[in-house]
Amino acid sequence: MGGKKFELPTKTEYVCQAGVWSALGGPDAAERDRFYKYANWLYQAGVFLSRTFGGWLRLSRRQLWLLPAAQGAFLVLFAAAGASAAAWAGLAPRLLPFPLLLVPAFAVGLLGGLGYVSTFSLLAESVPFAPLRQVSLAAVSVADSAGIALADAVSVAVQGCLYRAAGIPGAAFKCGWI
Amino acid sequence: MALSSWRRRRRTPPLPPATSSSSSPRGAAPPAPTSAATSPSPSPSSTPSTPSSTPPRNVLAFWLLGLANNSPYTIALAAANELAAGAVGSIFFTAVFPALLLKLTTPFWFPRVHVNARAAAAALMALTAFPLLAAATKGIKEGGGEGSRGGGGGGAAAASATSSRSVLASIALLSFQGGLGEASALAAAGSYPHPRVVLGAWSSGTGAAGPVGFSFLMLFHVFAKLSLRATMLLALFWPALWLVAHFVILRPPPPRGPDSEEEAAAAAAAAEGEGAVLGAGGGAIELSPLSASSRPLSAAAASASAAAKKEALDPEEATGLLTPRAAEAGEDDEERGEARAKKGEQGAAAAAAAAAAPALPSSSSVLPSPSSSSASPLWAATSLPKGFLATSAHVASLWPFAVPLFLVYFAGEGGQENRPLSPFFSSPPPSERKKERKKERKKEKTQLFFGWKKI
Repeated sequence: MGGKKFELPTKTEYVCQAGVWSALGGPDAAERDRFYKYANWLYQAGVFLSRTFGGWLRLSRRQLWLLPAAQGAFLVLFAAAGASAAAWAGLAPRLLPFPLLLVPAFAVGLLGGLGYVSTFSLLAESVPFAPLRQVSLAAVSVADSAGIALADAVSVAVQGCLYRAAGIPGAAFKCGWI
Repeated sequence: MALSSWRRRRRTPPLPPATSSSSSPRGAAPPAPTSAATSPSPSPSSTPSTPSSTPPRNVLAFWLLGLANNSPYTIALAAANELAAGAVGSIFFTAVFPALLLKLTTPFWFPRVHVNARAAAAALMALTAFPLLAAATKGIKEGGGEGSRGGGGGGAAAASATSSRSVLASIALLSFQGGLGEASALAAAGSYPHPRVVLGAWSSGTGAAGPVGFSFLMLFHVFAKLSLRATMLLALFWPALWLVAHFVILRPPPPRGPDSEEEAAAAAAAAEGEGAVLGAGGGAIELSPLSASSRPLSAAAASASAAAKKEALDPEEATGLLTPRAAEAGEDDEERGEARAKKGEQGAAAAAAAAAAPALPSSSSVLPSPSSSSASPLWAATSLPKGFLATSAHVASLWPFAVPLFLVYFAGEGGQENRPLSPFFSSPPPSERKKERKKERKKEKTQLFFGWKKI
């Protein structure tokens, strides 16, 4: 299974299936795929809803910080669910059935979209001088791209470790030195 | 929901969420401007009199811009995952980093390039990238398909290598397009009188881009069974839509000067009164969260124009807030030399404090600032920073907005763009898979028959 540095093993059915959510859903690959699809759809729905209506919440600058804090908590929750599923193979799904995890997946989408719209709205209302406002809005959009890059890197790393813990083959990152 | 308790008490939400029940984005976007008359952040002088509420066509335009900006990226990424199955990592890098790099440069050239030029450039990138992607599709299909499957001789492998290189090139182009389009549209939104309304429309459009892009591929590639190549050519619809939204639907913002004339006068009076109260230390960038964030935009804009009337402020002095070096960097700028000479060189910090004070007429009155350093942040300046260092300092001063946004994605599986489509499209559609399986079985049978393959 040689190939380029970033090549996935060819047997993985889904190519870009990185992320914590791809490790959730159960021991069966088909179940995991199903969970991944539903979670991502709900995530999308959450992003759309909060990007559409989140501007009306008018968060303050201090409240903006609550969003990444909540996201961090959710990441821990998902990682714990994945890891515990590996630890108690049969038991965990009964303790925390995976469909229940779709609710926080939706919430993660809501928070992400809310972060986007409220950051830019608040910024636009904070910078009084119009030309400077334009520059600032464009400049802060760097954080959007950089955040996505970071999230992708984090999710690949976490996925690798969860896959390793659960004994699932096919992660891009092996969570180890091998 | 707990979020509802986050509502800021000081402001009334422009639109009660009850009316937001219609989930159709097109239906949802237009109602916003009707409430826009009340939305211009209420000023302490309470003059929400600006008759120019955001016209619905501008809201629609920004919604379409958001949709048309992010859809190409979504579609192309899904297609790329189908095409260059082996190169997920490089696709990820080419999808993210061009946009990131481009956005990093925007503060330095956006003020000098007209928004129309930026919009046209973004559209041009997408208009180039999709044909390129379509061409690459052909190359890959001819090259024995999915190099990961291992077949194919040297020539075929070379063909698929070049086409996967052009897949990467088109992904990079679309990443540039997405980054440029986003930065440009956000900047444009900042020039409209009620940025929250147009920004809401924009972000709603970008939020819709994921599902819409997915539906686009579903509709044409899966249900209508069009080839990936044809689908990529059809995706030229999105840059076309972007151009229409920007050049046909969107109306330029009203000129900034006259619409807030009275407010400017009022704010000027306020500034006169409070101009004497100068902030003490110039070192702190950070303001107490209440002051600047809750400061109403209209008053702020008014004070800005008032300050502009009063023979404006030096950018150098404003940047003096952050680093003396930044102030020095701006000093080679000759235009404003006189004004600075008039005021005299009294040290960057003091000058910055003096300069910043009239820019914040309301902040000192609205709240008794808890800390002694009531200096305004760099982004409250009333002039554009000049020079590399000053601009960088301004960008750095935006961290209270940038860092939460940077961190907010990190449980969310990456951005909304690149995840959800991939599981559906990375594997060939079921019909093709069946065909392939049939082909393989046939091959195996013939191999068995001729005794090529031993079991």
